[in-house]
Amino acid sequence: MARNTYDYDLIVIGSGAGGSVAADIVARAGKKVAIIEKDLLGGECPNWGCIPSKALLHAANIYASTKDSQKFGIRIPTVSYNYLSIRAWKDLAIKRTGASGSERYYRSQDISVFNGTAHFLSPHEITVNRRHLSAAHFLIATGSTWAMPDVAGLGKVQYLTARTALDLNRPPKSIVILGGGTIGCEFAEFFSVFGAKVTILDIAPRVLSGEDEETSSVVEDFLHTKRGATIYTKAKAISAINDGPMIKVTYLRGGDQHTVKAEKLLIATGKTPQTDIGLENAGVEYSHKGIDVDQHLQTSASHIFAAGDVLGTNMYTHVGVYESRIVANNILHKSKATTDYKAVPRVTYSMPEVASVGMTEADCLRRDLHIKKAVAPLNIISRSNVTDIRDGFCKVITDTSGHILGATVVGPHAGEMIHELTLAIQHGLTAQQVANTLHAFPSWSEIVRVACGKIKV
Amino acid sequence: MNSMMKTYVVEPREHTSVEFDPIMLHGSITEACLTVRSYEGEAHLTAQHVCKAVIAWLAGRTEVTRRDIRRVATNALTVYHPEAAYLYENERNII
Repeated sequence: MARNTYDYDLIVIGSGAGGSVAADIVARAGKKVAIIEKDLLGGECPNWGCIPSKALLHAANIYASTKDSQKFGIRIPTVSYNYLSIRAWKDLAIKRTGASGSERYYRSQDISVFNGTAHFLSPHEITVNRRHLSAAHFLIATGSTWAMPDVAGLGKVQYLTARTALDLNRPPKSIVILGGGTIGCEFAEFFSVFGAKVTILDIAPRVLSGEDEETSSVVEDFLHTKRGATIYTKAKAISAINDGPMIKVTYLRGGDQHTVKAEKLLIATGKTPQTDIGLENAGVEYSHKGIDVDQHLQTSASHIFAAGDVLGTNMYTHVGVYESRIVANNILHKSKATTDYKAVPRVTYSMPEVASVGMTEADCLRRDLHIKKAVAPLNIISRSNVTDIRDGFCKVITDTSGHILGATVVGPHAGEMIHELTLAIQHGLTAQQVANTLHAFPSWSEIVRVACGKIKV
Repeated sequence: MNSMMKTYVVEPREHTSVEFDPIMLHGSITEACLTVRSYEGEAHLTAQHVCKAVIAWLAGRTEVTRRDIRRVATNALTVYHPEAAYLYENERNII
């Protein structure tokens, strides 16, 4: 495939979800592959993203439900925790992903691994630690980094990011979280369970502003009433300064200036693609939103592909893996695979868990679509009765002929239940077809059947 | 440690590289500023700011191209002196 003048058939920049899968597939096809990683092998998800945060949230959920177990007749005199042991559990979960040992795996697959920062020198050549490598194809999977909000004095205070917040020695007594998105809500849940006084400042009119409004109100209500968190929406942080051992954050809300003090400050205002790798030298077009690609994930330089967070659209591990597979196919085969994002599941592992897929109601309104919708509250199903978990719902949005366009599930195991609706959207099923499918009694999934059954065509 | 790392400027077509020289960059920026009739002191100060931005960007990078330096310097210069930035970016085309 490659001309003899190139060192490799494929060089993958970034060993995370967007890069590693393609490297593996292309290497298995007998091509010469190199992978370059500037940080830990495996990238964000196993090292400082989904895996550690979900391991910590799991511990938090157990702690919270144990404290709440008295109503079921279970008597536990004292429930306490050892935070360093919780951290050790998180580290074990990271270790078990095998990411740290993946170098040995790559070498067994004849994939060369280089540790360093890659920088394009020309369309077919990059430099890593002053070593020049050339390839017939490149896959850019450099991921994303934390977006820093425009807050005066932020550089002078010791703020946390979602990466550094995982490694605290103890939960803070109080914390201000800038941003009420997925990461902000998950950390709010986690720290508040362990007794931190949490304040969320979000510039958006509601937390989880990318989801349907009903979702935001359930999550806000839960965080406020059950976890004691304070949530200020439409609040723009303008400055942060050290105030003794505390951090004082000043914010604007409703035209007035307010301040809030906390022991820690967590920045969770989103992520921005990492594109500063000399893309101009390679002729790859990009913007601050990410690298521009076509439906085959080819950049403006046709031999260079991009996948994962660096595209700036669907920043999820499962999307990175999906895109990486498409890139591998398009490098190896003449028949090009194309991307299809109509059924991308999104999950926020807060309490209650939030999962959604496809279009939200706001998306449909923006597209001027005629829709039908139905919402079924969680407390109408038997599983809710037997577990005494009442907060949540299932919302289904269809077109006028009943084909499901989008859905949201809020409740326990929502992240599992959403896949039924993902399948329905991907394969063009109607709500009636889902409703006519047998659902076990009493299961959480019954809520999906009930919501779909409410859609009348 | 990264800031102590030497950065080399590569010329990919010629397969040559030279160590990044901030004095040379300072001189080019000052020259661009003076050409658009900045005061000498202001030109030096602007060049200092631009060099600082470029050096910060180079931290952790072992090799870059001349084009990279020009791009980053132009971006930094645009903040202080847009006309000089335009001239610096396009001097080859203009002259």
